[in-house]
Amino acid sequence: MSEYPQLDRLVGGIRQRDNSAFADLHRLVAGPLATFANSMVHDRHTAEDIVQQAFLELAGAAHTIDGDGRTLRAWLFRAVRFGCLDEIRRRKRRPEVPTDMLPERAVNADIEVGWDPDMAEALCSLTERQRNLIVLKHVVGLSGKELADVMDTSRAAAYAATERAERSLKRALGAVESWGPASFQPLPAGEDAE
Amino acid sequence: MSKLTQHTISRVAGPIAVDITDDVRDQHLAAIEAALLQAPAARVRRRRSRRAIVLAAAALVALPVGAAVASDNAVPGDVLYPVKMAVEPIVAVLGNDVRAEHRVEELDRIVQLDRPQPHMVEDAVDRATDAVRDLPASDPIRDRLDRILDRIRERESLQDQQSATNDSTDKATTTTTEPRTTTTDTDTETTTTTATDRQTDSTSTTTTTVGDRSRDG
Repeated sequence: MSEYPQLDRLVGGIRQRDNSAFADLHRLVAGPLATFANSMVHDRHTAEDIVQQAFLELAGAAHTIDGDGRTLRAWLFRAVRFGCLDEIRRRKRRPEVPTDMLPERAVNADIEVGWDPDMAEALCSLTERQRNLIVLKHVVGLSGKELADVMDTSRAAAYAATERAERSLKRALGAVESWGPASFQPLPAGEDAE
Repeated sequence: MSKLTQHTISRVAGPIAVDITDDVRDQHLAAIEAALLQAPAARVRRRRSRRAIVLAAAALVALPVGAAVASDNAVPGDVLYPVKMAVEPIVAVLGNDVRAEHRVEELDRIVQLDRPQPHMVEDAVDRATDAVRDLPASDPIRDRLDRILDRIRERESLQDQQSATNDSTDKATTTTTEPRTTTTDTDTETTTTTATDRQTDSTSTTTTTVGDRSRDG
């Protein structure tokens, strides 16, 4: 939360296409942006490229930015989300399946990479949008208007969709961890129960 | 409030967390600086959409250019002939002489057709004589047009002879005595008279000599 005043101060410099404002903005949000991109494309180099592309787009559209620091940050996350969706679409057109990374379990290889098998299977049962909402809210820390802006929806709809996504993930995790073959480690007591 | 525990969240977040290294940051900042030096309007676009735009633009250019190039050899009556007529005035480098040469060339090719449509010959003669009118009297294109008009007249007179012999003798003798020119429709007669009239209007003197030359060569 502490970065909001900093973000607000940067908006003027970004609108002026000031190089140091861009550098400061990059220092503040490039990491979370790349993490979010990585949650969609599962390749950190691709994720970093998409983040760079988003900043280049911002450089081209800087004069159109208005609002506060949150608006600015939401603009970048939205650009990254569209960059990732483009990348996913491109992969579907010409799929590159690395043979040494074939999944051991029957889950979508695209999203399994990175997460532990149970989590991968649970997240795999969600929609791309639901995964986005969970990552943006819990990993990046967006909420309310910002979350709605990134997902191109209303505040209320974003809130309801996030609730639904969380319930779905919990249910999927419960099912996977009680039935799944890889769940021999008992969870710490009290975890994942309300 | 959250329905997810901290443990679940760290399981989601841990494997996907990306820390931007200094190298990557420097690389990004250099690219951003370069983008900022460009004009603000030069918005960065995706490569795919740029390629689509280039392809569309190329198609837009290639289509009319292709039609114009293909129409270069068109002759009155062809589908592309209107295109040729539309393009020629645009191509400003074409002088009067080039245009006249084209009209004469078209007339020549129409005359050499197996059985040219009478009205096509007529129109082509009109166009050629119109185009030649502004040229100097010594222009070789005039000579060429004269030769072609002579040939038309020659053919016409042969047809006259032939129809005359057809009237007097029977068909068997006609086929043996007939010269190399094949018979055309009787309609051609009107065409050729018009052509000859025009020809005597515009170009007066050299008709006989030129006609002889063309018969020899």
